[in-house]
Amino acid sequence: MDCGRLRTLVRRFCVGEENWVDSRTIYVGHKEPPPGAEAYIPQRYPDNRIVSSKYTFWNFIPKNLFEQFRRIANFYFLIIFLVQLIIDTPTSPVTSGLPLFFVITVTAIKQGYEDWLRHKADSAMNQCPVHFIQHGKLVRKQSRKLRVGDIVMVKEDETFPCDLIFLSSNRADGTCHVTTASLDGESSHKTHYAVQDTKGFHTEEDVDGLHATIECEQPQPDLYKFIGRINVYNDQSDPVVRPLGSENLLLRGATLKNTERIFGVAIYTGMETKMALNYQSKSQKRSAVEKSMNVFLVVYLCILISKALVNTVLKYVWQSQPFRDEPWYNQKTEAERQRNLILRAFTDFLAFMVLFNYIIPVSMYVTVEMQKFLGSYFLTWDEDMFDEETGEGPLVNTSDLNEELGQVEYIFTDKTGTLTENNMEFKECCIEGHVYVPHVICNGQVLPNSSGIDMIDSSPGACSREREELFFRALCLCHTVQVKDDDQVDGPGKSPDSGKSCVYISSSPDEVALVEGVQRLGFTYLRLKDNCMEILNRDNDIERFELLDVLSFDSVRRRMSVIVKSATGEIYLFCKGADSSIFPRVIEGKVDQIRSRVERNAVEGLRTLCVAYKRLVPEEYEGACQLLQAAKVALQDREKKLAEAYEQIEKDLILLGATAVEDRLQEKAADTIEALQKAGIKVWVLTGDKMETAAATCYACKLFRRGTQLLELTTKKIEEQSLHDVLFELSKTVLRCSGSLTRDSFSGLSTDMHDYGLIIDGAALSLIMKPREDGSSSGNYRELFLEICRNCSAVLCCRMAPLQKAQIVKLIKFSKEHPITLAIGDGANDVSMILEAHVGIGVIGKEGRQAARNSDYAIPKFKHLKKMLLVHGHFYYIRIAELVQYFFYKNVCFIFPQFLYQFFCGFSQQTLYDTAYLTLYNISFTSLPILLYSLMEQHVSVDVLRRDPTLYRDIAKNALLRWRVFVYWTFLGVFDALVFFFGAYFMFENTTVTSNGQMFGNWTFGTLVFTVMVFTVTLKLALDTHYWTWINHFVIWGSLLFYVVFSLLWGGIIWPFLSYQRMYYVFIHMLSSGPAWLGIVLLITVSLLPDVLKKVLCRQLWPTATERTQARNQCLSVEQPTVFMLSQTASGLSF
Amino acid sequence: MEHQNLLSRLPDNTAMKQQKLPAHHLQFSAQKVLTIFFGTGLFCIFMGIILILSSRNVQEVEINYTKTCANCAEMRENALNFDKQCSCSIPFYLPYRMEGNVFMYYKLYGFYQNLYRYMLSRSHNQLMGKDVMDVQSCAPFEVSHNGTPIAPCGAIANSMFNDTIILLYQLNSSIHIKVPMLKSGLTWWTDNYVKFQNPYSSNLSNAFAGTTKPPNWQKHIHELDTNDPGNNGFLNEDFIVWMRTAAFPTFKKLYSRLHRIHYFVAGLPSGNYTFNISYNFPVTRFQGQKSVVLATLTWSGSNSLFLGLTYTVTGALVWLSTFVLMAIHLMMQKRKSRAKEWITKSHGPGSLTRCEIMDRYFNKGAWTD
Repeated sequence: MDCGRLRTLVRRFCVGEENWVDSRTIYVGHKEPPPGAEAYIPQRYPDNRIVSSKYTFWNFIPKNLFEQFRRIANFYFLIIFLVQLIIDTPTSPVTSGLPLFFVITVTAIKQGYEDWLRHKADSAMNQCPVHFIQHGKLVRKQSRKLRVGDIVMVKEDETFPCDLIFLSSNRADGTCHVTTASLDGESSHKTHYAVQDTKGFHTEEDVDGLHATIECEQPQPDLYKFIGRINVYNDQSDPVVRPLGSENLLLRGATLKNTERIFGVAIYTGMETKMALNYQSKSQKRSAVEKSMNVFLVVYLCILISKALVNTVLKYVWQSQPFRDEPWYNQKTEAERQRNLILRAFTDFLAFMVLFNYIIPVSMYVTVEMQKFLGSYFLTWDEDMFDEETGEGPLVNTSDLNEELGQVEYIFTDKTGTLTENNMEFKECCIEGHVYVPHVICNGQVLPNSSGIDMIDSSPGACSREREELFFRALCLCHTVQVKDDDQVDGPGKSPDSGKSCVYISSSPDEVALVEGVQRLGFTYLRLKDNCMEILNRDNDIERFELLDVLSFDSVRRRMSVIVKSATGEIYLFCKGADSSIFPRVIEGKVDQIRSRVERNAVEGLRTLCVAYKRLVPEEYEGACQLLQAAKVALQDREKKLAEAYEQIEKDLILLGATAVEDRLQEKAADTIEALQKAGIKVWVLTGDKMETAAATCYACKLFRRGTQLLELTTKKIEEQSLHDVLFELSKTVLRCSGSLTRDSFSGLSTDMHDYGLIIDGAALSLIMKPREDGSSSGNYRELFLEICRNCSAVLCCRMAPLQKAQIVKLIKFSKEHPITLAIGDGANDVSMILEAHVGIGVIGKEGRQAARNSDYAIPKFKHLKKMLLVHGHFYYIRIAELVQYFFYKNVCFIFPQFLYQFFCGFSQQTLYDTAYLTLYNISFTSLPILLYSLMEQHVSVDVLRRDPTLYRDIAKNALLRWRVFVYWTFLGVFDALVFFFGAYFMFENTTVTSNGQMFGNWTFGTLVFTVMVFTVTLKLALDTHYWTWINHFVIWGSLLFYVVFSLLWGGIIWPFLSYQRMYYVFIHMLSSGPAWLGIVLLITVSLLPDVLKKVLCRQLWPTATERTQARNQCLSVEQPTVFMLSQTASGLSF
Repeated sequence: MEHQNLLSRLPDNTAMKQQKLPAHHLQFSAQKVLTIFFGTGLFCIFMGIILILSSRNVQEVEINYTKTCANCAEMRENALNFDKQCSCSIPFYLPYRMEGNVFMYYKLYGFYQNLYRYMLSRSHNQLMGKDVMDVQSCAPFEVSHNGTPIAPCGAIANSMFNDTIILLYQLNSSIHIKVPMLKSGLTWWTDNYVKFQNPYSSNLSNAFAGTTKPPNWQKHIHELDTNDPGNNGFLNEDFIVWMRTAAFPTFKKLYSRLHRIHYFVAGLPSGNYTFNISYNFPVTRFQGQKSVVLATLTWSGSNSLFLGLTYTVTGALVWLSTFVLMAIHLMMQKRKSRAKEWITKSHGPGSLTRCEIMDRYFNKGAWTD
């Protein structure tokens, strides 16, 4: 397998740059063109292998090590370790080498395992069988062996193994239906056309006999663009040249539907398919917390280096007097005397670095990794996020981004399958003001639901009954739905009743829903046969209507019509369309009642359509027919002329009624979006779908509200005005309002009139993104566009290609505020955006698991996003923020006394603490409490976080890791260190701390400082802990106890493996002295005091929302709080 | 059946996994904080006063003899004179009685016992008596010029404080009696019995056979104390005291303690005393100083003024912050009650919970006036 990769690489490498050309030529079936034809440059193409894995067996160790040591921290520890190995330092290399080795190994194993999973997935995909033609026979081979030029046969419901040029299908007209759900999210069926000259080749032999070459462009990621041509050689005549377009191209990832089988020739394979090009390489994502951690790390590195520098310089200044450089009691060895001064100074500098290197602890990275890894289990364990219908729970693919879930500012969501269930349902219809809800189906019995406005007459009159039936017929006839071919196979002999089970197919799911809905109301559309539409009416009679003309749908008119001739010879025009396009053309009917109903439905987020009709007398029809004919044959401005013709025909209509279709939103989608908006998150919908559909969904899920003023930035509008004008106009509109009104921080909540929603489509977006020719002001539009977007409460982007989705995400990601983005989607078309965003979330959906596989987290339903962000994200963030700050704090406490001690020991790199303490401080004495805190802490309870989304704003913009906070923690650390050191210093200096007159040495001093420090640092964490479970008690008191027991043990035994016994009985003797106890208590109190005071004062004077909630919760739990009781209890309220 | 299959992946509903462990929410309520602060302050001030009072009983006399001891300082300046004797007597007057146990210390200024290489230069194996020839870690004082291992080896041992100090009490104008001093109990018990052991042998000089004395020493390790044969070798108390390296360049080490017999049962009476010092330890070469200290101790050590003062100051600060907090708290209470009035006026009593009031009140800053 690896050999194959290697071969590909070598081949690719050998082909090199010079052979790269703009187009490629494919010999269909690997047949050389006849001599005399144009000479083509032979090219080599990759095989059909999909590679998503990062490593191979061979390059794993070097590549992985390289990637790991690119991490600033790992590199730093490596350097420290090497320095310790090379020079004589006060600390042993084991102290830093062992943890580093541990970290590197664990990470490598984890990444190796993940890559192995990817290898497995790849090979499963690469080995799935494909049929192709060899010497006129059908051969089965593995997908990866497919080569450019191979002729492939694909059966119904199979996905295409690579990008194919469609040669022929089993249908006579050379068409096939394809669904591209996993590519662009559109689940509707699209029709593709075979090449004109080859569509007659139905058998393997026929196809094998084809002699042709295809020229086409080199692969490019745009799904909707393809240019090429095919030369078909016949024996006698000149080659026939046909142009090829995207309608001839079948893309990898799409699925063949409704067509038995097709033949196609492979033109793009493997990583060159449009689907693969739309995937982006997986880059390692870093969370904002990790970024600030790295920044802090650099700060500490600077502190470290400056400390070492200061000490080195001071050391040589101090040693400038010979009696200090080499006093008689501390003579140097001969070798030391002869060393070069510069070298000595450099060695000293390195030794100081090593001495202070604990200020950046390896254990922080271990703890952070553990916290993330273990913490992510809380997500997978969460019962609330388990979907009982599908039996799926949340998946965590990378735990690196846990805390990023608490920082999200923009959510980019896919629509189909994410917000909606991708499942249209006919909801109701309103005929002449009567509302029908087909919620009960009893043999076509209609049960009119009388919950409507003013039409409670359950027995409609004859006239009204006629209208009603006309309405149903209109719905049955006015569409472009196809019936699945199965019915034809069964033949006409089958009973009409079985027609109910027939499957409808259409490019618009709404139409299917309508036809199905009408079916439940008693009218069944059977089929289109010989240009006759057959419907089964309530009395189980088949009615036939001759289809005379279809005035097809377009998004400008937003309506469609059919002209049919009934069996009785009457000619009808049925028209169906958006209310805004129907009402102006209506001359008769209960317009007001229907309008009010339509508006009501629209507010509820239903997709409404109005239906109207008109009866055409034969003369009128003749006129219309001529108009249409004239327009259709026009060579110039055909579109325009057609539109004019439609305009003339579709007028003077009689309004019949309206329908309402629901694309069922996912459960609680609106609720979730509302909560997210309250949490200060901007929600954008990115979809490949049509604008109207998408907008309706946005209304339904409360992204757009009734008061939202919609701004459109669509192709249509740009055609009317220039892009420049449109953008400036929009920005003027938006900025005027935001200028007059100081921006409300709670804008998500405000329902005032300055609530804008922006709609943009893919074409307009690509215009904006395109760099302008003049170059000078490129990016100008982008800025403008971003400015508009920032001021809109919701943005809807429709008709997006997958890469465009990623582009949008990128645009926002790199805008000047650098907001944290989250992308959520369920289909393969969302993969690129999922990979691009800071956090990518896959919905484990119907359209395969591609999104879930490529995401960072996968959830069963959209609604789970709420708990994921507001509760888990919040917790993860505050936990890790405290973890990071606390780690730096405790290491400042740890190392600063060491630094101070250098001033008292002649800058000789003497350690203050014993080696065991140096090693174990971070590993065991202070590691568990903070790890536990970072796993368990709940500063407010889960319920409160879920109830009050605004608390999310408290931690927005990395609030707990801002410079101010960081500096506070650092200074707190320095203060504490000063207290420990000088407190102990003044206790020791010139005084006896025992009552038997004996004196203590330097190790006792170090141990005293260390003891105070361990207690202070642990108690500081205890004071920060809000959520005290028995585990917290156990770990915090346990680790203090462990310290004491360890110290007793460490000093209580002569350890045979040690060359020195300096700690022997030091700790016990210290504890046996009364003043030491007093000193310990005093120093702990003094070092904890300022922080407690600051905390209490801040809570009292400037409480954050979270702190207020904490206070409120307390008062809720403590007493039954009423105004009445307030007067009785004077002070129960918390600081 | 299928439903059960689906549910089989349902996570366990344990409190741990659902993050619903029963927990105590730590809250800083006003009452709690004020009580704790007040209590801490009280404790600190109480301790402070006790410590200050007790430290008044401590007496200490320090006599710096660096340069006042004849011309010994200049003589010791030259390393070649190391084997010449030099001694002096330093008379002083003790104006008060020193009651209880009196301890005699020597004190060095500017002597860095905590230099990194200096501290490493000792052999634990040798000092434990396991292998008297083990001088591995003792650079640069491992072996003498002729290659004989040094016992005790290393820089620490080599630089041992070797002045002898004898305290004389002038009973009357003519009679000086030697104040009885004990050379025992100066070291930690564990040092004397575990950490330092003479090599096993019938007599000490045999035990150290094959080794030589450190270059700066005048006597061999087994001849350190001529009066008390048990106080020799590695078990010599002065040696053990010296080997416990001090934390700072200025340090005090216990030299001897008063044997409370005869005239000295109650301590040192006031009067004229003399130190007879044999001046061997060169301090001027590293610009240091040395002195001898007589001190009494209480339960809290020798000089607990620092602890006492710090306790008092801390207590005062804590109390101060208690009052500040109380003031702020009362101010807030007033604002709250005004908010309550406002609510009661506009909504009628009982219509809102207290917490809702709090919320509304604090969310709308405009109501505060």
